Amino acid sequence: MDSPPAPGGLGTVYRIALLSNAMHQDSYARAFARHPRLRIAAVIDEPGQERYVAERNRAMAAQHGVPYVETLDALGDPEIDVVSVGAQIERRARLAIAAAQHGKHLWLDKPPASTATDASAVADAVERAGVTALVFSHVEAPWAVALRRAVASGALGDLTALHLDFHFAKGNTLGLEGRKVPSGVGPRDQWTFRDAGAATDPTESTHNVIAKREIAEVGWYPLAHAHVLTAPNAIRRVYATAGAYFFPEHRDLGLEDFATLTLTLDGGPVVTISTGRTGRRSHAGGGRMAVRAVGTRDTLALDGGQPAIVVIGGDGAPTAPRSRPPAWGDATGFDPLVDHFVSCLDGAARPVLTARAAAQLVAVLDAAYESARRGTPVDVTPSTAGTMAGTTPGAVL
Amino acid sequence: MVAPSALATGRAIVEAARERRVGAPVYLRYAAEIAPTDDVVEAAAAAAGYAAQVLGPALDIYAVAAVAAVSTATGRDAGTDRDRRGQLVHLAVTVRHGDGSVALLGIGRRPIDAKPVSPSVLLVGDRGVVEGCHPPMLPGTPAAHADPTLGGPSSPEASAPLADAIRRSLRSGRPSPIQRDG
Repeated sequence: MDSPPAPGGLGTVYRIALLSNAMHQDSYARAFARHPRLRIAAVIDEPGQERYVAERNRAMAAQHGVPYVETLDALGDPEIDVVSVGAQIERRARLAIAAAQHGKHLWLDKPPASTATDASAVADAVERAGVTALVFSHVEAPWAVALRRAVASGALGDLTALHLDFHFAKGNTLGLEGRKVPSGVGPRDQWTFRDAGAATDPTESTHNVIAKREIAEVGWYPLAHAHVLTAPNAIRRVYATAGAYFFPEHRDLGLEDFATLTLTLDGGPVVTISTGRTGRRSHAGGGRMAVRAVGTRDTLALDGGQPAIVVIGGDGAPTAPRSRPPAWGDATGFDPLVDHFVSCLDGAARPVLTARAAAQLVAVLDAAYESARRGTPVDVTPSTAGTMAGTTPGAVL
Repeated sequence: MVAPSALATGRAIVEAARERRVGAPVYLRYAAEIAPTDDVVEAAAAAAGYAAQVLGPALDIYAVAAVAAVSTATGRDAGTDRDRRGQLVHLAVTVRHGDGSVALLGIGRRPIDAKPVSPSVLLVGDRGVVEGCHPPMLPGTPAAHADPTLGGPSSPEASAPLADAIRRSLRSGRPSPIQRDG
């Protein structure tokens, strides 16, 4: 194992390798490129990837003016400080572990693995290597930070309930005859569904997937918000419903496009979440990010995804995904999260969502899928829930 | 007094669901805090009754509760351990309906001195949504409270099986089927 790069200091420029552009890497790369203390050094992937991914890798390398290398040996390059893992979910944990074993700090796409067992293995590798790892979420968005500050200030009193509605307003849904309920309850050995020509993108993922498991894909965001708002209380029990209501691709593949979760935490509060990909007609902006935080003193309700502009008119869904500016200025918090990550690399902060905390959230996802399958509440597996070692309550407050 | 805009939202959602204006109903959210003296379980049952108006007959109900230690005494004894007991302050209720649609209900007890906050009301259909856009409560605004029925018909007879299912779910920790006479 290589030694992890020593923590830098103010002014250090970190060289970052982009490991596969199979999914969301191009969005991360744009945010990295905007940061003055990060320099994109290379695009890396394993040989033998599907042609679509290899082409995206080459295009991203060309866009940033860096080499594209098809070998994981490149992870050993001592000039690389950080690896951003943007592979398909099926490969994500294995590649993250490989990068950690080379002593590289990690920026991890979400969820970091397809199962809690694999996510725990990532966390183990990160801790053994002594590297910094942060898993992507929206928790550094300005509205989310303002909400955390309000909760931490005590203005709401003790939280008794969190109600979250997080929906992606993507895809031209026209109503689905023959909804499938439950859905998403079959084996989860495959996560990435593309058509052979990679020519269609009905869910507007921007990486040409036909359908995604939306409890994990969209549901990750409200779960992460709930986690940071309620830390260090552990999620112990999950009750979930899931179905295919909007997209024929989800229905035909047996995947969920919409779900609800009810979470029971040690020491409270109660948490409910609705989540999914609900089509362009479902929100005036990019999607609802609604939170109702109920405390023993007061209640706070907001929609972090509320657009600054509302257009009334037309007779159907817009012809393309909306790109309205959010009223909060930044609904997702890409740039603040990258800035926070650089502070972590400097040794000046702890990641707001560590690999260990993320592994606990993946355990919640596992329990949610099992609950939807059984139709009953399911306890989060203790062996993976463990202690909240990765939680850093108040880290950014 | 019930907030007029919340009532209007409630009616609009019922009408939209009945007339399929947003396609087939998928999901209903209702979250509100009720008056401090109201019964949380009864209010949650009323909200479940409203959900049935929107989404159709309920199949089963799963409920979890937030319990807070509250003082049962006043004056200087308040807040001491011997005067504290668990009190149900919030209910999170999942209602599964016959066509696969789902309602998430959150009913809490508003603190005595807190100003009312407009309820969160949302219907998601497979071709659109209906959502309440309520103004914040301004100083001088008459105190309004949430009405879990959102102005729809409600009766103790209609709510009783729903309240019973909520209580059974709280005891068992599992979803409880709705038991109807006949």
